[in-house]
Amino acid sequence: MSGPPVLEVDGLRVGFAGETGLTQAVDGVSLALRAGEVLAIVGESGSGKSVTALSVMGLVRGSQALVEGSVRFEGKELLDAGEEELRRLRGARIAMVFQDPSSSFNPVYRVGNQIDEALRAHRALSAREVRELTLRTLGAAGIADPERLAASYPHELSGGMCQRAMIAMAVALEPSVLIADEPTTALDVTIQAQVLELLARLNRERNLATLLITHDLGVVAEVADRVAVMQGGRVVEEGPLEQIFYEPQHSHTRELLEALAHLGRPRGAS
Amino acid sequence: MSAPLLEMTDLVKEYGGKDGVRAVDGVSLAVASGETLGLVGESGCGKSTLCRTVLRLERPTSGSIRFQGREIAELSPRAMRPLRRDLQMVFQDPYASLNPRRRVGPTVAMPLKLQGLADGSDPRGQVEGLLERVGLGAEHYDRYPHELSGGQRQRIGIARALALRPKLVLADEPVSKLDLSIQAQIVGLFAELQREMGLGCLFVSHDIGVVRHVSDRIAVMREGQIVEEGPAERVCEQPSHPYTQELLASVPVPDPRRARARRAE
Repeated sequence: MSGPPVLEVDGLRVGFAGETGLTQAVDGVSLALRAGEVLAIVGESGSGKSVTALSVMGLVRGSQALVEGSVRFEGKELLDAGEEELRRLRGARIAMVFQDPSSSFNPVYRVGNQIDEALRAHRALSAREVRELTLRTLGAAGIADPERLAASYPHELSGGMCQRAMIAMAVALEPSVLIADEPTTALDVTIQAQVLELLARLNRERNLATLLITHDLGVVAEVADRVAVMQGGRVVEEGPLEQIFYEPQHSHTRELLEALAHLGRPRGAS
Repeated sequence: MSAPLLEMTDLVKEYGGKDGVRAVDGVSLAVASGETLGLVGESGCGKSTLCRTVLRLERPTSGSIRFQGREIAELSPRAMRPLRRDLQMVFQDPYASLNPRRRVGPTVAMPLKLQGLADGSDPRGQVEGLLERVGLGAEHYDRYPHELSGGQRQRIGIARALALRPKLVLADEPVSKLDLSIQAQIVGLFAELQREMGLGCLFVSHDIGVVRHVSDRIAVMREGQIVEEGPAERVCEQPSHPYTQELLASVPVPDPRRARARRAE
């Protein structure tokens, strides 16, 4: 967790033009992410955490969106990068895992073929080489029978299996940065525990820089090294995991922790 | 304790004929007046089907449902209607369960009108009282659902369910679509109103933390069956079934030091 940041976000502002004027979804966010660390962005719905993540990937563009500031990946500015250049980075150097695994795959193709296709978009590999890589990455994601999974259609997989396959695809080309946007929110709690463990292990083994977007402070406590708390498009507090939980400075951080503690208490206790 | 308000015995709900699915597989549970029974389980365990069956939105395949001492498993929709006054539901999704084209006031007034309990032709005063009861105000009467936040919408759902002063409320994941800070408010509101009105409640959730917070007793459901049932604290502190233990062990601990200690185990 040392060395220069792999990803640096500086004064990021994202606004959307609408009927009632400009909505400032992200309002001056600065973050730095280093190899081997998990940085969690935590906030409630509408706090701007997902738009921040999408902007880093260059996925917020077009005439309706006004993006300002700077996003540097390995020192290179992404906000003025061309679409072709971004396409080379996305999936290969900066990978992303989304919330809903069952809608992230195309329902009419076998999972293995979809992973093959993603890999071949970045590497000139023969059909056999690419399938080997697909099976190897599925195995690394803790899938017991990669061949069988590769031959399955998305609807034949459970939510947990689908998300494992998604994560496998994301890390197959050994990206430097993994952005996971609510990766376990759609999963049952017993499956969530397994998927979080997988993300933590991959982060460690591959020296990834992981940006974890979540609303769930329980998830944050399990896997994050550092935490940025967002509210109203801004980072209101940022710090090491334990500082955020045990010495929260900002009132919004304290509110989030208090809501969590309140719900964790048994009936009648206050 | 007197006779339970709601009593299910060997309740079974199957779908899809011979090779079908037994979504609810021999469930026996009871809820007393003024009591909250928490029903917790993961997706596909049959908890929502159980709710729908108890409400008689579904016809049970076999078994008995007694509500206020009366067998309702076989009642026709028409015969169920007068009972619905005492048997209400709060749904999961406050976006989907409110008619987007109907203003808040008429939405809350609808059950009063249907059951003939409205004050004359304009129950506005009645409805405003209910809105205040759930922490909203008269100014919300003329709003549309899209003008309200998720938490406010769920308050409308609660006001609508409580309008008829029911004896039993079934709440199916009433807070799972809401932000955590809003969850805490809604759960608190729910508990307060329940105490005031002496309601019985079947509170269904996938979140054992939320269930523990609101329940007197907890039943844990898996693959259509109840695997464990008991007082809330006993089930959470000394779970006896391996599945309950797994469920509790999987809940992320919002405390980095405890989380680390648990991982090291």
